[in-house]
Amino acid sequence: MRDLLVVAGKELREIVGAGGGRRGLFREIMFVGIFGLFFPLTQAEAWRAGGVPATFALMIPLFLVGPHVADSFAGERERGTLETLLATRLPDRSIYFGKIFAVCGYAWVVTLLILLASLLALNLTGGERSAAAARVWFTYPSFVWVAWGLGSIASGLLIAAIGTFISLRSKTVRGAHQAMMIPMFVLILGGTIGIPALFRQLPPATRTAVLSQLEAMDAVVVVLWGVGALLLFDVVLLALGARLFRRDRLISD
Amino acid sequence: MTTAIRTEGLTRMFNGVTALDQLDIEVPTGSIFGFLGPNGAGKTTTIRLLLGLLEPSSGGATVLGRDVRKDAQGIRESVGVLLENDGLYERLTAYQNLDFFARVARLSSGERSSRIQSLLEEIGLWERRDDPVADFSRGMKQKLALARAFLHRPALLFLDEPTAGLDTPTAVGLRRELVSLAREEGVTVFLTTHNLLEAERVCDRVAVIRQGRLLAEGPPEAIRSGGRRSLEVTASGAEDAKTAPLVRALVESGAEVSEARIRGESLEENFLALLGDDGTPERSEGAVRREDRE
Repeated sequence: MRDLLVVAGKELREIVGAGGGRRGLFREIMFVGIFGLFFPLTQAEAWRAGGVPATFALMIPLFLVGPHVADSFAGERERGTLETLLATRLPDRSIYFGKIFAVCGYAWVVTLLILLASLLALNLTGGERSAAAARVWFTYPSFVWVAWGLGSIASGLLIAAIGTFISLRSKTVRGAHQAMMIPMFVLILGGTIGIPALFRQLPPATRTAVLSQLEAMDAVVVVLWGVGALLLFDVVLLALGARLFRRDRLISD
Repeated sequence: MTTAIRTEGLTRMFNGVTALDQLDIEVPTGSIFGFLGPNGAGKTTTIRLLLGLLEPSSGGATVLGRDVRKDAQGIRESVGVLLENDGLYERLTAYQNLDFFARVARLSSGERSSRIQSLLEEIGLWERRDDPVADFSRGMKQKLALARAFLHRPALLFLDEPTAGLDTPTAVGLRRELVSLAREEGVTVFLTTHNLLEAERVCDRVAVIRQGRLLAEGPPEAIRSGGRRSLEVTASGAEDAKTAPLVRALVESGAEVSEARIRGESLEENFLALLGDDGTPERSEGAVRREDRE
């Protein structure tokens, strides 16, 4: 665990651009500004209902994790640091999971900051349900908290697991980034367009039955089931990735 | 004499091509061992095999008494490396780079900071400790990478062409730094190079490899003279007219003189003297600086 944290610490420093200045932090501030302030303030009602922030909780980690995970191994290989890292006493798993832990932890924290910023923005700005008018602080429905807390981890791990497969096999960062576009598009378009389109292809009776089943269920339970299934899939992918992560293969490649 | 590295029939093949063929070498503890050969000779493959980064196709090796097949992690724990690339994280500062590798080596907090400071001071980069490595020159990066290799006081150091791509003064400085650190810290050094002059100056023993096969092994002077023992006489201020009696005296004393030539300073020595590098051999009277002439 200690080795994993050492690797994760180094990765985080690189991600937020330590030593190089504040460019890394500027990117995070931009993310928080756009998703945590601009969208909630311009679409306040949709945000209060909870559907939009819950969707963002699943989508934002894809954008945050994707580029960094593509860079994780392909970048080290391209910059000539991979072999030195592999020549240390660090166990394979600490290197592999340390990198994943760092990018997912980073994405989770930024996602959480976006949630908190949006909550603050909604409470401090106008509207009947603002803190000043109602004297009560608005908070999201509980399924939003579940989606933000667990869903963002699950989607971050999913893209991280897929990304490490790609990054381990890419010779260059550019190649890894280009290859990463495919799963990113599949996940984003699949989630926002693909699944609803497929759902519409079902017979009307089946659609009605599914919708009535979902309506009868608690929204938190529905989200928990979805996130649980995604996490299980993540675990399988990560275990597979850890098995494929071998020093000799990385060097001979 | 104990042995730091021993290989027996060490062989590695890649897709049917033999990169290293039946290598048998012994590296004595405390020595600086040069592994010489042209590009593609199998030097880097040998280091990767000795570090347990690659599995041997056949044969075996022990490093500090540990088997490369069975205890690769133990080997990596006890050695320092400076591979073909400096392996430094350019977005991190010099201090952060060393700090990361010190944490990897599990140095305690106090030991980490004191060790990093002493090494950075030794290589003259303490004042630049908070600068990102991306801003460093290639020579500074190589020095920092060398410091990183020494960080956890390894018993054995693998250096893969440490002076490749450096300009002469920087290469000479790095070489000096390497020898001084290695002698001070009592480290065994396994150094690959295709720079014969470097090997001759730095190494106690050398091995020559080509196309994966060991061609020769021994002290540099023995390899240079093809196994024959020789006596080299350097006479300063010897002019042409005075060399004949000198050679005659040698012959009369029983020496078999096979070669006698008047040698000025090497191009490298003169180049360094012209640049005014502080650690160069003394400038000969014949080597005139351009500004002296003007």
